[in-house]
Amino acid sequence: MTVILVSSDNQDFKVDKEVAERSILIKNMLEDVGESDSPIPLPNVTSAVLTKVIEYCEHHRNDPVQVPEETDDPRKRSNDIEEWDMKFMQVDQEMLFEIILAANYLDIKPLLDVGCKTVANIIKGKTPEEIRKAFNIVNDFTPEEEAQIKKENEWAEDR
Amino acid sequence: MEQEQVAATRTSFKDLPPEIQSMIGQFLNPYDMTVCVRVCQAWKVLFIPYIWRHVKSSESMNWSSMEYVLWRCIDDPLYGLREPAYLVDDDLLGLMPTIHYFTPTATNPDREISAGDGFRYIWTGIDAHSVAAGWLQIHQQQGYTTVLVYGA
Repeated sequence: MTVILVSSDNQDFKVDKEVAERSILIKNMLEDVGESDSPIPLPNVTSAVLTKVIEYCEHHRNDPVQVPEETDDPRKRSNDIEEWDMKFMQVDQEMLFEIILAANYLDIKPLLDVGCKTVANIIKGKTPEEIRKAFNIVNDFTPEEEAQIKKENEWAEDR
Repeated sequence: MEQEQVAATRTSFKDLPPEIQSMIGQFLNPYDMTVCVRVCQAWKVLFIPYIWRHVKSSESMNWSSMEYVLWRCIDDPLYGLREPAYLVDDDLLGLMPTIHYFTPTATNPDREISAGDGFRYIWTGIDAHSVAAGWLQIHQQQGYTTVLVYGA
């Protein structure tokens, strides 16, 4: 069985139901509507992003449903991205954030996770200035504030 | 894969909803966080809660009394709330019961702690599976001694 997804720019995407249902949002919609051929509008997702998201869902169509991990450590690891996902995430930054937003909207938890990990990995090991450059962020601290924050935190940098 | 640069306004980090920005924070270690708070005002607000947790005391404290307070908190999470001299905030209440090994590295336990002091601590979970280490740092402002627990 296939379903038709419609992107915000009105492009139709015909995908297997099993693939579409990687999205919990779509899965719930399909359950609510029952058997129906009506296309599913996704007004928050452009065709470029939807193409990527479908590519991800196709690849992961047979993955077991993710169970929330029970862990004592509130801090999660970001170095466990599988190779295919890593390659999949090698996109420009705008697309990366768009994929994250789409994964959040469509409720595709593993994709959201992989997106967040990718962003975390961009942050890691950089100086504040390098992070600003990477994300095009303007430094809005006054020199005094900057000195103060650095002072408050530098003792902790002795790892 | 076509990556169309459709939008005039490019989607960036600041466009992510706060809950997703926080989610990204979960994948960062305490050191990364100390860098992140120095990026810009918005990031400071976002990441500061991950770094610092507070114990407050209205009195000046020395290392022994500090350790005593922390141990009391371990034995009795409500201690800080009942004892007027010491205020322990909610974040720390959640944290303290898991601490059962604590090593201040201060050389002189009778020295009064003061702003800028920091010391390392180690705690292990009750089940001994979870081990964490970090630092505590002392701040003094507005008549309070504040202990910031870093790396929780």
